[in-house]
Amino acid sequence: MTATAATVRRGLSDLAIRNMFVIPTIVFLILINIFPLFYSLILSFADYSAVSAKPPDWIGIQNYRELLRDPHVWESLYITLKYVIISVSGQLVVGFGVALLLNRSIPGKGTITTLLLLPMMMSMAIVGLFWKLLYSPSWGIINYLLGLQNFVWISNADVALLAIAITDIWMWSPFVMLLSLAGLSAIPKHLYEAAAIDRASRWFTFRRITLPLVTPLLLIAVIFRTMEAFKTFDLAFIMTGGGPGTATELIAIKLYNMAFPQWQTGKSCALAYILLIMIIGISNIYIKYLNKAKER
Amino acid sequence: MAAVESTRSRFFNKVAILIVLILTVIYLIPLYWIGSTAFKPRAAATTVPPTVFYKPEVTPFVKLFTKRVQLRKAVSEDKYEQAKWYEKLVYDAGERIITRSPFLNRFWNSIIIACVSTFLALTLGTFTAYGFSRFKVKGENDWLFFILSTRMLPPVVVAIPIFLMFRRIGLVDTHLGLILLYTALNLSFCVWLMKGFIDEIPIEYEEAALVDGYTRFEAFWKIVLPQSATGIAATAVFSFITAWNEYAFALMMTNRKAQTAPPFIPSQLGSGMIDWTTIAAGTFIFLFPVAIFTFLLRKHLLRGVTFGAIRK
Amino acid sequence: MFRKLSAKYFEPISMWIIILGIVSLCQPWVLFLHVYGFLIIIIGLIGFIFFSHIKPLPEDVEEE
Repeated sequence: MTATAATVRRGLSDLAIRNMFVIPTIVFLILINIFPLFYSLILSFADYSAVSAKPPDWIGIQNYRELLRDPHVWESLYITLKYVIISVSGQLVVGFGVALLLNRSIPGKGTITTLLLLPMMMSMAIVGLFWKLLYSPSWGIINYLLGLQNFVWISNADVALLAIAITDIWMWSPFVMLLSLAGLSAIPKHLYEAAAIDRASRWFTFRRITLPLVTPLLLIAVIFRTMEAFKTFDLAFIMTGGGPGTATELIAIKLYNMAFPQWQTGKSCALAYILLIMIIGISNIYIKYLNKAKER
Repeated sequence: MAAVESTRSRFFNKVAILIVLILTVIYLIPLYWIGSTAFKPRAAATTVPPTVFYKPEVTPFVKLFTKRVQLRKAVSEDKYEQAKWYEKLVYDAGERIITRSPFLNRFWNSIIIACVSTFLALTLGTFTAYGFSRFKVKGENDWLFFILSTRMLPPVVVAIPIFLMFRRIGLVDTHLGLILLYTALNLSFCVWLMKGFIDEIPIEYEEAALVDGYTRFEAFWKIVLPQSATGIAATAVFSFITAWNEYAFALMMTNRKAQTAPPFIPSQLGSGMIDWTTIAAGTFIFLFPVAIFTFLLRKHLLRGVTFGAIRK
Repeated sequence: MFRKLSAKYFEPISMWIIILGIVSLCQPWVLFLHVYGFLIIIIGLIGFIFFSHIKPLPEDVEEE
C-alpha cells in the first residue's frame, strides 16, 4: 500500500470493499436456502421417494392436485388455523393486558419485565418437554393448582390442541407485552394530560389515544406471531407428536411425517411449497409493517 | 372532585401493581417447578399433592451423566465406603453406575455448534451490515428483504431438500452440516441487527479517518468495529441462543454423532432408566445459560426480537 | 397517477387477497375455496410483490 495522490484513496476502492463485504453473504444464503428450495420445487413435480432406487417420475402438478383434494391435508390445515387463532388471540389478550398493567411506575419494574421475558428466550422443544410434566394427569401441578383431579390434557383429543396453545401463550405473550410496552411508553404524556383536562372517560382515552398509537407495534407482534404459529413444529411435536389420533397434527407435523417417516419425497415437497407460499405471503406483509415502523 | 379522582386513580394503581405481582408469580411457577424437580428425590417428584418442601439433592444430576443398572442386592459395606461421592448417591437410589451417559457429549456438541455458527454468522453478518449501511447497493431494500426472508422459512420445508443434498455429500449427522445450517439461520438476523447498530454510528468518524489517510478497511476495522462492540456482543448472544435452542434441524439432520442437546433430552423419556427428576436436571442445565443471557441482554431484547427495526 | 393508485389501492388489495387466500385454504367448510385457496395466495403474492415495487416516488437511480 503506497501513498499516491491525495485524491486517490489507498487500499481497495469502495466498490471492491462493498462487493467483498456483501457478496459472500448473498452467495452463502443462496447456496444454503435458495438452491435447496429450487431443488424441492423441481421435486414437487415428481413422483419420487428418496429411499427407493426408482428415478423421479415427472407428473406435473398432480402432487398439488392430489394434496389439495386430500381430506387429511385439509383437516390438518384447519387444525393449524384453529391453533393459530387460539394461540395468537391468547397472546394478544394476555400480552397487551399485562403491558397495560405494567405501564406505570412500579418498584422493580425492570426485573419483573425481564423475569416475564424469560420463557420467550427458551427452547420450544425443552419448554414443550417440561410442560408435559406440568400437564401430567395424576401428579401434574396444573391439575393440582386448578383443582382438576386426573383431568387428561395431552392425550385427550378434545383439549390437546388447547394444551399446546396454552403453552405457546405462556411462552410468547411476553413478546406481545414487550412490543406493546415499547409502544405505550412512547406515547407522550401531555396527550393524557390534555384528555384529563377535557374530562375524557377512561374508555375514550384508551380508544382515541392509546390504541391508535400502539397499533403499529401491536400489529407487528400479531403478524409475527401468526407466521410463527403457522410454522409451529417443535412444541407440538414434542408435546403430542400430532396425536392423539390426528387431533394436533399441525401442517408442519403432517409435512414432517410425510417427508421423513413415510418418505413420500415428491409429494412432501409439494406440501412444503403450499406451506412456504403461505409463510412467504405473511412474511411479506410482516416486513412491510416492520419497515413502516422503522421509518417512524 | 379532583381529590376524589386522584384517590381513585391511586387505588387503581395499587390494584394494578398487585395484579402484576400475582401474574408474575403465576408466570414463574412452571420455571420454579422445573428447577425444583431437578433437585428432588425420585419419589418426591410425582407425589399428590406435589411436594414443596424437601431435602434438595444432586442425585438427578449424577443420574443425568451416567448410565446405570438396578442393584440386585445391597452393596457390601466396604465397597460402599470406598466408592466416590457420586457413586454413593447412586447406590443410595438402589442403582449401580455402568458407564457415562451420552449427555455430556450431546451438550458439548451443542456448545461447539452454537459457538462456531455464531462466530461465522457474526463475522459475515457484520461485514455485510457495514456494506449495506455505508454504501449504495442497487435494490438495497430488496436484498435486505431477501436476507430477512431466509430467516422466516419454516425449518421443515428447508430440511427436506437439504437432507437429500447433505446425504449426497455426506454431511448428514456431522457437526459441519449443522454449523452451516445454523450459520445461514443466524446470518440474516446478524445482518439486520448489526445494520441497526452500525447505522447509529455517525459517519463523520470514518470520514475523518479517511481524510487522515486510513483505507476504507482500516476505517472499518479501527473505527466502526470498536464503536459497535456492544452491538456485536448483543448480536452474538442472540445468535448463540438461537443456535442453542434450535430443535427441528437438529432432529432431522442428526441422530447420534453430532446430535445436540434439544433433541437428545426429550429422547430420553422413553428409555426406562431415566425418570422425571433426571429430565428436569437436564432441562435445568440446558436452560440455565439462557436465563443468564436473557438478563445480560435485557436492554437489547426489543431490538433483537424485531430484527433491529425498533430501537425504543 | 398509476403509481399513486398502486400504493393507495392495489398494494393493500393484494395484501387482503393473500389473507383471503390463506383463510380460504384453511377453512373447513367449502371445498371449492380450499382447492383454489393456494392459487388465490399466489395471485395475491405476485400482486403484492409487483405493486410494492411501484412507489409514488421514482426510485433513485443507481450509479455502478
